[in-house]
Amino acid sequence: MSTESAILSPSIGWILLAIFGILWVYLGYFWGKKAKSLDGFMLAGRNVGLALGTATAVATWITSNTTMLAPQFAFQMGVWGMVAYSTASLGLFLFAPLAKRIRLLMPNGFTSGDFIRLRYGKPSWYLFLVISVFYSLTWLISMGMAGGALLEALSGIPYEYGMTVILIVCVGYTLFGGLYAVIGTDFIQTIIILAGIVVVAVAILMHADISDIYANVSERRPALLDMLFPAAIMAIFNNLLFGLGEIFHSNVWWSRAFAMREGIGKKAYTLAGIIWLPIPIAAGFIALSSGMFDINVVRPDMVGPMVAAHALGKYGAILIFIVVFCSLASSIDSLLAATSDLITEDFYKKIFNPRASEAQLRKVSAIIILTLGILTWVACVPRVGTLATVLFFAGPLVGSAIWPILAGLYWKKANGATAAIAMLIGSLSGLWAYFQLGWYTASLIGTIVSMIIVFAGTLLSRTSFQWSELNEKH
Amino acid sequence: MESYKLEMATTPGFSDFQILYQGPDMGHFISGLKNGDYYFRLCGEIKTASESERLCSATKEIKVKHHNLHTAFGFFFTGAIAFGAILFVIIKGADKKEEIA
Repeated sequence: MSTESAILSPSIGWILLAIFGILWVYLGYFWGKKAKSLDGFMLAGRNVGLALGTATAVATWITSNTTMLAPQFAFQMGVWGMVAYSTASLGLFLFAPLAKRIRLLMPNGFTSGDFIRLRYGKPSWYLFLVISVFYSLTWLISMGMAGGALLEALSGIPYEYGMTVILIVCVGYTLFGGLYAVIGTDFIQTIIILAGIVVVAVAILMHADISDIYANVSERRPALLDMLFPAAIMAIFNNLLFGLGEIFHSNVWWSRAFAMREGIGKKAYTLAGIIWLPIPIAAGFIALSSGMFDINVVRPDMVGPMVAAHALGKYGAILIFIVVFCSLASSIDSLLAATSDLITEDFYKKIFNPRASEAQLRKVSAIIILTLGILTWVACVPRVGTLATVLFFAGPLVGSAIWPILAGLYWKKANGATAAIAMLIGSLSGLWAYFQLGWYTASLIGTIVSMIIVFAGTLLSRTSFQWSELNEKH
Repeated sequence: MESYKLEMATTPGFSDFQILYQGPDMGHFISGLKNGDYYFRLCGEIKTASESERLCSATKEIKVKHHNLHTAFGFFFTGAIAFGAILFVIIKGADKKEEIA
């Protein structure tokens, strides 16, 4: 077992956890009172405006992965690693026009699963649901692990306790408030996260000279400055495509497209991409300065928070604690809500109980949120792998979904059999690459294989889909 | 021993060693090494009232071998093609004026 010295005492850690935990749960309860119908609970009344829409997209995409995995990328893959991570903003930019089209094609839609079912039929839909739920779980697990590891590193709170409390808080307020609570807390969390990151970046620049950082990295980790670092070159488009796959397929982003007022989605996602773009660069820069502060990095996914906390002292550690707690909460709640919507709508209502009342659906939704929380907790306890290896395990699966979604939204000739085969073969070949070549190649392989199958299948297809079939009445 | 030094060198005799970490922690993450052979050992001092003795662990040899650049650029350009195709479909799709209802 490795150790690192905590900067804060466990009692300060518990106090911070208690303050923010109670605040989020109270806000969840407060906003939850607005959710009078299922539409309100699941899609915030389909009336979310530009400010809230942008904030929820930014907060959801700034996850523990941004504040902890982006520094890990820089620490392992150097300058190209920072660039590779920032390409995830392209997911937001490119989803902007998709959000507009989704709202146009499916004004009454609820989930991304709805789209696959109506567009491609049941075999593709079942496969898509497996991919989507699996991805959601890996994301949830990576965030639960991040929360526990962060609290342990910063305050000495044992990993299992910190991880458990974070999951309880997020499950609690998502349970009370649905998407209203998620979007409301996201707005506050965005402001805290952005202000925190700016303060940390400026403070680090004041504590360390860039030329000294460069000299230190050149001496101790020279490959990180190498523009021809092979693994980093391989990772650039892999990460870009992983980000696209995550956003294009996940109900987290589709539910927001449905929740935003007409005409808002495209602007909100574009603005969110602009705001998000520089954050991984700032986070990565922080990691590269670790040598300057003589910090012993034991786990690469902890390098960002550890450097910031050491550079800024006790108050810096408190700030990092709050920023990462907000980034975790804003993503865990979104994922819990969106995955619960997907399972409630697509599994329970569509497969098991088509005549379920709104009250029944809300009850089922709550049970699913609770179950997801418990499953995540069980998977987080053993603490297997780093954030990167856990999260990127889902890379080939989400990468394989990019082309079936794109083709389904824009090409009338795209068909269900091709979509199912593309997702299946794409996922399997990407998983092969994960184990044989490295996690930084898996999404790319999954996407490419799926793309070739979709191209071939569409070219040979005689289908001509009617877009009006997507406008399902509930 | 309450404190260790993690030493790294590029020669088995440690003539050019550098100390990567010094302290009580039982782990250290290394990244950013170029291709080559690297040698590691842990050293520490045992102190008695009158003298101290420096002890080192057995040497561990690690070979760093990055992927070759041809493979790396193969992945890079394949990824660029996939991304270009996605971009093309979305940009072209944004211009679609077809009847939806």
